Amino acid sequence: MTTDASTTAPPPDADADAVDRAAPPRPPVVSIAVSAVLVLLIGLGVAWLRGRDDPSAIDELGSELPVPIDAPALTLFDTDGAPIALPDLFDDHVTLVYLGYLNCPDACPITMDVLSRALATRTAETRQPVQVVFVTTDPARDAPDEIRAYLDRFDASFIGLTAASDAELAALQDALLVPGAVLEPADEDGNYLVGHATSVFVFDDGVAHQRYPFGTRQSDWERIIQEHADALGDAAR
Amino acid sequence: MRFWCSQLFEPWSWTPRPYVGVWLLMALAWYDRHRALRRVSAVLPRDAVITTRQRWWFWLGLFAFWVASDWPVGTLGAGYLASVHMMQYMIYTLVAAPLLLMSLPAWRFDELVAKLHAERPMRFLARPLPAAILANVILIATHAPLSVDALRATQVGSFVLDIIWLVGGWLLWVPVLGPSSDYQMRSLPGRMIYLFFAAQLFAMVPGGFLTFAGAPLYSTYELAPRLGLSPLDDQQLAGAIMKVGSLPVIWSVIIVLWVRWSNQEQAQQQREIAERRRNVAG
Repeated sequence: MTTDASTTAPPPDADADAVDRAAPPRPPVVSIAVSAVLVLLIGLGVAWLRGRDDPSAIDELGSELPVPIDAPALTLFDTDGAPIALPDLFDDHVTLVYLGYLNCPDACPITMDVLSRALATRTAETRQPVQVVFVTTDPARDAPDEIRAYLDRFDASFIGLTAASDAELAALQDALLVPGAVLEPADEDGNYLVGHATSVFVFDDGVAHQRYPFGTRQSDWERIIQEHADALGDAAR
Repeated sequence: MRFWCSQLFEPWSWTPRPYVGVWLLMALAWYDRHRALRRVSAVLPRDAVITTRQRWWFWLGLFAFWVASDWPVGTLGAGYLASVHMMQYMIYTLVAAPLLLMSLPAWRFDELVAKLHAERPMRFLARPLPAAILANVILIATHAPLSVDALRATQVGSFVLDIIWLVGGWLLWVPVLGPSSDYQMRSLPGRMIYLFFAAQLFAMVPGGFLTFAGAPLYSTYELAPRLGLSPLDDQQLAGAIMKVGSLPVIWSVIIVLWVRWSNQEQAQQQREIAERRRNVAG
């Protein structure tokens, strides 16, 4: 009795196997491409859904203030100790105002960094009327020379200001329609965090119409700065 | 204690932060393999069950998976540095995936494919063209800013991203290192060419986008607490890693394949010479 493969009876699905061998299925490249598009669309969809509820989403950027805010009639002190009247400082400029503190672990350095990088991409002509003002919400710890050194890490043109008293700081926050900064309980080393507003207020020639929340990205800031600088230039002409 | 690493929205800390999900998944992988080995040991001779080398590949692959997934690499990659995110991708795709694939005996690989009812898709996906397309689709889709920003924000999303990378790595390597000959490319030069195109050449394109972009592309890393590197420098480093990070692995494998091919050719030539001599003598 022979056991040669050629003489053994074919298994029941041999015909199907033969067909498979004779005509191998064509690679469904189209299916792969469609799957790729689906993966991308799902990714985009998830991102869109997330962005819709995210307060830092682009639609929420530049949320219009309920009422325009005039430069607060307050005098603060710069890092050289010189008094600076805010209306005078903001006059004829696009002024980006941020309230923060030097020991801030997240929002403050990120915001300063993003602003400095966005400004660095603009032309000298665009940058010329734009100024960034950092007001400390922790005057007890933030000495003027430390504020100067901190801001120099980002951009030497950034202006650091300190309120003369807690009442002045509170008045500034009231004027900007933000809640007052809150000192958190100190740890055993005496270190503490300060809860504070993280929006950047943009004053055009002494009047703010918009504030931009934390999460505004460099590419957004490049556009915002350009638009405000252009608008100021147009108004001057 | 968190299940999987994802964006933390808090300043970086060097305090260790183990992730339960990573350890559970590793334990599950070990247990499932251990059970399969015990079951087969009863019917197959010891050498046919698994080789010592395959045991080593398994533990090394598991170690690479752990390094890429757990603190600190997992945490840094999920929410702080795009360059570490890219390193994670490289470890999953170019280290953990091929090592774990090589750790599988052919019977185990076939068994897993059968268990997943994936014979047909696997036969198709193990071909060089579909495998190369899929690996690069995964590369591009999982590095698109919208995908990264959406997935990295949650633990589940971050887990999905890591697993996609690992599975994508398996699919990339099956035509070259597949334990079962059913799914492996036969031609050694073909494998070399496949690896060069699938894992090296196409990655240059998205890598270039990251390197030459004028602004940070990923909000996850742009708005993360800083860790020394500026977001743009970090992104450029990520792009450089994507472009050249695979070089040592890919070219090492290509060299090994080339040496093997050369040895095969020499052996073939010697066989032919011996055959001719026998014919002449006869």
